[in-house]
Amino acid sequence: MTDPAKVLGPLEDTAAPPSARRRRRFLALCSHSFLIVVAVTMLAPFVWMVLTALKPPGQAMQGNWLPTRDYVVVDGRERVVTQRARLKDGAGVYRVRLPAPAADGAREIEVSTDRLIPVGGSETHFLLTTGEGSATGTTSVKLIKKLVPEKFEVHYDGGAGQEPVTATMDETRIITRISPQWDNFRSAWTMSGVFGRAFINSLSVCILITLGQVFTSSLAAYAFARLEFPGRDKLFMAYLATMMVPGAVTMIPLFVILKSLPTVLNFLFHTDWFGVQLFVKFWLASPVRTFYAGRLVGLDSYFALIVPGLFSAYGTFMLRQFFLTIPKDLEDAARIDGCGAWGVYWNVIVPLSKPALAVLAILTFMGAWSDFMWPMVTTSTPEMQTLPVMLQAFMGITETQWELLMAGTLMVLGPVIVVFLIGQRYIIEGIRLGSVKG
Amino acid sequence: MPGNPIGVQPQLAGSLERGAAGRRTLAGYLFLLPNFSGFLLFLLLPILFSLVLSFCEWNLLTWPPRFIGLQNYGNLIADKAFWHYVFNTTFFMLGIPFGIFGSLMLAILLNQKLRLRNLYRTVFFMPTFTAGVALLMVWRWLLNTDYGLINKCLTTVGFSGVDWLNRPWAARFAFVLMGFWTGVGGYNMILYLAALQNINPELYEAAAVDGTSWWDRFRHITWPLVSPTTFFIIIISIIGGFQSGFSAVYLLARDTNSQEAVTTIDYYIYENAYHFYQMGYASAISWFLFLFVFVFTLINWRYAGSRIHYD
Amino acid sequence: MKYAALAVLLALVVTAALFLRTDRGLGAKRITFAMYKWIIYDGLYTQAAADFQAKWNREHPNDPIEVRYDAIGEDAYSQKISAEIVAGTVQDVFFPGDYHELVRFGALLDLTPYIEKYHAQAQIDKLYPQLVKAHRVNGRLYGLPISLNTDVLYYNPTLFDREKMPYPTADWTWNDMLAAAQRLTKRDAAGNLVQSGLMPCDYWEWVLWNHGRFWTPDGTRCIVNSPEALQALQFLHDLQFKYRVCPTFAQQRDSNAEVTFINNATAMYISGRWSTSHFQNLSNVPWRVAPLGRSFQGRHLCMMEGNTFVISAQSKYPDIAFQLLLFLTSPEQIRHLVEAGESIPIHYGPEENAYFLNDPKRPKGENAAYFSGMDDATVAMDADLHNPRFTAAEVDLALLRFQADFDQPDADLPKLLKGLEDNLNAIYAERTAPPVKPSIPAFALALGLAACAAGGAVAWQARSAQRAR
Repeated sequence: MTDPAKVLGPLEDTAAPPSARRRRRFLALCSHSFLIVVAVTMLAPFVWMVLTALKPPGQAMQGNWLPTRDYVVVDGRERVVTQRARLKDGAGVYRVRLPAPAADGAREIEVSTDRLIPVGGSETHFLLTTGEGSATGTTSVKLIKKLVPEKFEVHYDGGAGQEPVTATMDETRIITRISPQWDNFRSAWTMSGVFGRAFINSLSVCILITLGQVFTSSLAAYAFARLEFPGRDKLFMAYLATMMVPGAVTMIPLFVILKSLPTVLNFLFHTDWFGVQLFVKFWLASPVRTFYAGRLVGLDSYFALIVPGLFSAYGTFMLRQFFLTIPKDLEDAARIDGCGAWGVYWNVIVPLSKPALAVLAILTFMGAWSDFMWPMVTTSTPEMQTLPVMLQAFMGITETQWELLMAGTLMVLGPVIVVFLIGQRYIIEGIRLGSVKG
Repeated sequence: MPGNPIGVQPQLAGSLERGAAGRRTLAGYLFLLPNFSGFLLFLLLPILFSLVLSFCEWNLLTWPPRFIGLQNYGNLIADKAFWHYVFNTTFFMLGIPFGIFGSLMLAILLNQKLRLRNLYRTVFFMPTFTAGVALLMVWRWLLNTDYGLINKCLTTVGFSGVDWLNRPWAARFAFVLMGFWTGVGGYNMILYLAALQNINPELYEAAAVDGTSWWDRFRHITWPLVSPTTFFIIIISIIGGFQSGFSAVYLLARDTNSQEAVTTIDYYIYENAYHFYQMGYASAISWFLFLFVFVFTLINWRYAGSRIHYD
Repeated sequence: MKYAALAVLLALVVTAALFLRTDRGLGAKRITFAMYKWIIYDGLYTQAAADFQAKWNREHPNDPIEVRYDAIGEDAYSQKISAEIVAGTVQDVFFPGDYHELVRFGALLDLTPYIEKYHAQAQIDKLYPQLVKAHRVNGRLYGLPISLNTDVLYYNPTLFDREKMPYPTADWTWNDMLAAAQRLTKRDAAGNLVQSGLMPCDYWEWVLWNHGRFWTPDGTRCIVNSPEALQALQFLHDLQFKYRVCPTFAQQRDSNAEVTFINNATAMYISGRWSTSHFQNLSNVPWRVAPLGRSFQGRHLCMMEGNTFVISAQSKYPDIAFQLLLFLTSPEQIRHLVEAGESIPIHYGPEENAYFLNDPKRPKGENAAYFSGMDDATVAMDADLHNPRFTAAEVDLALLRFQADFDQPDADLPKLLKGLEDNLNAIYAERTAPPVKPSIPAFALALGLAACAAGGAVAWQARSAQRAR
């Protein structure tokens, strides 16, 4: 991207005097700082999500970011602390630094820890309660030194097969350590059901839906954008109109249609092959294992999972809008060269719309991957379930065990991330190719 | 310069021209066929079915549905809860212009020759591609009154924490914020990026030579040239806005104190269909909504059609 | 590129031919039953399916069946069942979710003739009469209970020992409970609850325990605005906001009672037996059970609730399904559920309950706490909260609105309670009123407006398209 002829965007200006170049660098700096702030806002929740998946139970909805556990050393062995609570007469004394000098000019004072509230789980920053009765307030102070450590009532694990132990301890004996619980992922995997099969189902269904939808939508979008035929605009209006009907009520009718499809097809073709059940039999390995693969057509089939998702008015609309922005000169040039409609489509439109196609592909894949309602309603056997259905059931079991839920969700998100990273490259390629022209 | 294909070759006339046009019509239909056949069976047919249902009363469990004419629509107009939810839905759509503007700004910023712009783009897209259960759980934490990040930030800066998910207006504001944050770096931004790439850079050079300010360049070059994308995004956002909110309510606010304040029409439709066993009424709500959105979109199309510049 | 695509296609066809097999599915009869997904049910009912299948095939060698258990996620359970009923693929036996709705709409099989045919009355007579009565609609039976839960006080004896406090007894009043809870509540340096004294788990049981009532016995009028209900709700409100011995209900959404109890962060909480399935097998969780004690109005009114299995009216094999239903509600099957910690025995009588009352793993006599109050003349059932005349979801929505206001620290409870009563009565009046015919002028106007709007839009579009050309 070093070709100076490729000027991109309104803020760039290559053939400029030094003052303009300095100005350009300043603008770039401003842009960077703004973008960094936005990026941090976007990134922070995900960092939390990953860290929460690693937390021990009960810590998810608390203030700390990192998974931590408290330990005490007793008889030379470390024990996990299960609870730590303040004692009525266990207050310590800390030396803290005030933000502004007090009435007597002192900047540092010694206070009892009764009056100190930690800020955000911090070890060094506190809020000091001041005043009495109705005139209470707080000031933020910083710790200088712990003169007398505070005492806590600590309950810790007695060790294998032993009862928990209670003791009063100085806070200096309590060690807080970062301890990620990788086990959460394993628990989520085993608790949620037939994870592997659901994964394969989701993956194949989503890939097929993505390929199919991008293909059919781009064909239709090309027809709407560039080819002329009677009724074109009215038909497009109809497409647009269907997008405006909420999906909740069309789900049951679609369900009824799919349920009756095998019967109708069987009737039309005078056979009864359309409702057969499919099995995949691995006779090469031993023992021979048979996997249920749903019916051919109808409910509880891959057909039901894939085919309704292949047709989208949204995809057609989006691509049509994009195709309209492609200059007609290129098309005309191709036609002069003797291409028919398909030639123009395949050789001109598709290469130029890689970014839009990539966007549609990513969108479709993600929508299909996280679609929970439709697969849940159409599948009745556990073998045909997709990941979101399993995750939803998993949510009902784990309720408020956030760590497990986050771990399960992260596992389900994996392929989406991969698809996104792959799709990203196409967008980049498409943008680069797009800027060669003109 | 734009030109229509037939005009480029003025010497074509008569049967040759008609033959070419006929072939193009056939091509049009053939290109449309795969999509249209599926569209007919899986999109149009269920929709027409639901239209019929909106004139019936159906509890899903008994067949057939009972025809009751326009009574569903009559009940709809008198339903206080429905209009309350219409208010909620409309309120959430107030964030759309901010989202569009934000996406366009981010796209313009990322359109520069910055280092790390791929990284930025990936990071900005993260909320969109994790949309769903994961993201909503994250927001549940963010909005937590005692431990959530948002309240933490507010308290360190000096304000008091807000009871986000328990107070109606706080919850509404939180949902608008959530929608903005999730969508600003997402598909809209990518679409704008792609559209910005299609703008001929010579236009900017010419404008720079003329000495126009960046605001004028934006207003006269960038904004009009991305108008098809803007138009698309507005339509989609409004259509989507009327139909959305289901998963947010389902996962964040269901059975909580703020459920009433953030329930959207979409969730109300779901509730009526599956919890109150009133599928006919739910269909009537959908079609009422549809009519509204359809007329609105047509108006928008007509209004914007005169302002979109196609190349 | 074209050759690559062809090669892939060929590979797929070959793989399919090698490994794909089909089956018309015309084999054995298949009976299915469904329950919402829960770890305990998964294991138990999968085993029950296999057991019943083996038993039936042994007894009827000429009529083999295949039994399958489906676990459906709890969140969208009723939606899935409704969709399946529409498609006609609903399981033969299933947990109904909204029992009265399904009965009202004729989706369930009337069990009465089958009970007669198979002489099952004896087995049904062994069930607690209140449970059977709750399932009767117009004198006929449409489902059978498969579990039972009452409310007891769970407490952590270790935490009591630390404070050197006596354990809860059956004579404790709610004020005794409050006093104990206050001593057992601890906070950390930042003022956050580290240990809750008493976690109340839901709103409306408190009203019922205090002898408050929702509906008149014939179900026509809501009477929840009573001094008993107000007293109970005030106490509940004070627990959270005045005495602050527990997190508020809003906070409890993020960390519920069982999880905090397992983490030693709750000293007492009130729940049914199903709670023990979370921790009865964990060795480091000390737990005991005490009867719920006395409310302000005397001994707490026992609330009985449980799950049901019903048979679908569409079932192709109702006789086999009925036998499966009897099998699942038999004392042997219920015993598995009880031992897993999900339920208490649903059959009365010394031989049915002996294994439970004399459970060697629990302190002597502790399990009698679950039965406290069940012999009273009045017990409360879930139907006392939900009026069978309209959908449970509608009542829940009205309750939700009340709860939203209740959860504020400055809630005006008498006003809110009156509002709730009026609300429920209004819904009842609406549901039982004769349907209102829409007025002719109104709908002519509506139709006219719609037609004008649509017509105008289309005409406008046509005109602008013409102008563009």
